[in-house]
Amino acid sequence: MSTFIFFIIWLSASASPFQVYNSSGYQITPDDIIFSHSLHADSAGVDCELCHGTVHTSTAADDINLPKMSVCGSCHDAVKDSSQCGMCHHNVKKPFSYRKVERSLIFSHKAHLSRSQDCSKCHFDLGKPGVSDLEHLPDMNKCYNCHDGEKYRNECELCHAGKITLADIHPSGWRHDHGDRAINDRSWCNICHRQESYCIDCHRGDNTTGRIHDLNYQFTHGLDAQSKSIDCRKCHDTRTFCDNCHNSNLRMPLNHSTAVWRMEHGTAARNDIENCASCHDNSDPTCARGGCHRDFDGIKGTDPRIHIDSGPLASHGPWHNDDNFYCYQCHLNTHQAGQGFCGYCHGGERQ
Amino acid sequence: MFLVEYGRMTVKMRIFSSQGIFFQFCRRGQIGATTALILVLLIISLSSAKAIELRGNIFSEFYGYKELGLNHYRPYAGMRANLGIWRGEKSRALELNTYFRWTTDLKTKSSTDPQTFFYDTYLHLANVPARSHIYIGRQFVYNGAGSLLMDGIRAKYIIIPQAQIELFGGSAVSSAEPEKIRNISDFGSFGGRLAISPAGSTKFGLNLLSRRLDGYGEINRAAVDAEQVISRWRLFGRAAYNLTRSSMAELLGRISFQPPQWYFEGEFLWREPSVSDNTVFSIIDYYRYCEFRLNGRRTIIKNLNLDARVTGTLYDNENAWNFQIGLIGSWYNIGWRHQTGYGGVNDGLVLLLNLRLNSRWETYAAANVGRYKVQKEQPTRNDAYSSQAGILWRPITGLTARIEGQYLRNAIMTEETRIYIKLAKDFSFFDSRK
Repeated sequence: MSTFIFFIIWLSASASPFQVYNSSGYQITPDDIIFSHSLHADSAGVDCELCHGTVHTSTAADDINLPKMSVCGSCHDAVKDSSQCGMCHHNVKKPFSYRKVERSLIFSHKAHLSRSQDCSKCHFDLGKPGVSDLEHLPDMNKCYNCHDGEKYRNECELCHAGKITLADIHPSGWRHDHGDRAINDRSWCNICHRQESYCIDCHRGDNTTGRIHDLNYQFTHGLDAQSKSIDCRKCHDTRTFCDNCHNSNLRMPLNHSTAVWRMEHGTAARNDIENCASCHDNSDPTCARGGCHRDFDGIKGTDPRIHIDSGPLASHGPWHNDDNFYCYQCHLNTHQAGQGFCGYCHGGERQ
Repeated sequence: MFLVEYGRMTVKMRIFSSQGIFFQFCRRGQIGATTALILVLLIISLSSAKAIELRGNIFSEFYGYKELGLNHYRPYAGMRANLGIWRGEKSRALELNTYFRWTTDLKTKSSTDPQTFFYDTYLHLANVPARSHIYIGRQFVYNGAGSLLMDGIRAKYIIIPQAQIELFGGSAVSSAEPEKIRNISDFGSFGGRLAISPAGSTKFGLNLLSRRLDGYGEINRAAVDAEQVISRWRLFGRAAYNLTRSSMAELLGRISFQPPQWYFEGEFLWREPSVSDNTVFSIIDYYRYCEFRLNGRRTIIKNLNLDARVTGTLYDNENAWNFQIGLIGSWYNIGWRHQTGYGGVNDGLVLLLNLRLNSRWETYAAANVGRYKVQKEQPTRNDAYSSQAGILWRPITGLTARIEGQYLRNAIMTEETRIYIKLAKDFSFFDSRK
């Protein structure tokens, strides 16, 4: 374990010195070119095609459609002056060309330009000063302005060719909180997941592939069921879901078969009442059915099926001073005459 | 067999061949609305054949496994489909959506086999009248006050671009008897949501849900939620109120912050257990759930993230803790988890690999190892081990074939080997889109 932690710390420390960020939080690398679309396109009125003329024949996403230095030189005489490298290059001692961007998308500029010549339909905010140039690359939301599934197709495979991953589209933490996002604004989901039942592709309920839960989860889910209800309830209505196996198929939870379960189930009921209710809460609840918590003889606290010895009730027992006394595992301690457990002797009706 | 109950009437539908779906109606009383509706749809479809579009995904699976000494060979067949019955101007449309799956067991049949589960099947009438959407049939309902699968009707109306209202009503589907449409009097559910988004980064919601449970219990809740995105911050909160007991039912808060190379998230949940108000369980002095989660992620270098999280569930008598740490790369994921306190003790290791060989072939593997005990009294821990490895092939766009081997070992089943095969194909007929 110590080796593992050391490895992590080493990776963190070794990676940090190379990271530089601009004012908008965009990470600059030494091979970025200093360039402003705002100055060129808006202020100087340079036509996009003057620098990006190759886009008309470009059919692949990884085609380099950025101008060579000679194209810059057609307007900027400084290109030929070796003392002026710093005008465009961050690192004048070792000037790089453009930053390499890996693209695995299927995309053709040529096909898109045949439908519209307006570059700004996809490349928004080109004229906005202070925005780094790589941020002008359209994200997937912009694709959906046209590829809405109605006018133009929007199946994943059209662009991603089977290389799509959740991380390509959804941010960190998505797996945990996408349920709440889906509740609040499903229209965003429906851009890709046009049919609302798309959720079922993963949340189908049979766990045959281990995508949602480990394959052994059927045998180990008790660990989570008692301590992570926030996660369980995102998908499962515990009121009915647990009942499907535990009650209908008569598969008792492991803790029910332990020697101390009879003594401890009161505490479990207080902690996880939903889990209990999932199987036992019906029109004839198990607690009363069969006699455990049903007072057959009708005399307060004398039914041996509930209490082996109910004699202490006749005396002033320790439950009067101890709020954690075991009676309160089942009975309601109200501290008020006529109500709950207190009401058994101190007036009022029995609960 | 598919049973539909409308009061005194029962309609039985049997699904036959893989060539198509034929419904056999054996009626008591009148066939009624269902048949009429299907006939109307067919007439509309045939009279405007040019408007018909059909697209979706059809899949076949096989899962062979052993459980409690019995072999199970389960074939699955299913379809997700969208039938565009009619399309008019201004995005007006009538569509039929369905997602169903059929399965049986070739070796050891259970009492529920064969079974057909309709995850959803509903008609969607869009923009008639303008800015409205009406959904009729089996569908999921998501709502800040709760969610359910129901057979019923849902209507959504976009009042203005910044505000929309959604109302629904029907009967909840039982996961134990999904083939039944249950009666409204015992399983009726209704509710709605008003969503307001004064700005793109600010959203509010008002939710209502009333749900009957098997005729003897019910849940009535109202909830408000709000979401605000400020630069790299995202805040989300929800408060739910139990209308029957006149008490708070849930408080949820979540905050996330995403500076460059980092991701932080904190979450807090307090909630009242969902227990019917008129049963023996309601008189038990049960504890409220109080849970929190902290999550941090650091992008160390490109395609290498370090993720850590702590989850705590606080009870009055004992707390439960979960710690997780993992490395997430572009083609691998390694994680370790430690759990202690109420609910059991567990140490687990997870390894996931996913390697894309090229655009057509992909291999993947996973392994989970755990040492746990659910009960404190248990003298030794149990071991659980599972692993899987598979290969995925996409010979052409929209066609996927997958074969996967699985191996399990745990305290209940000493050893087991499983196999999973899947074939899926996207389809599209009469598609007018470009």
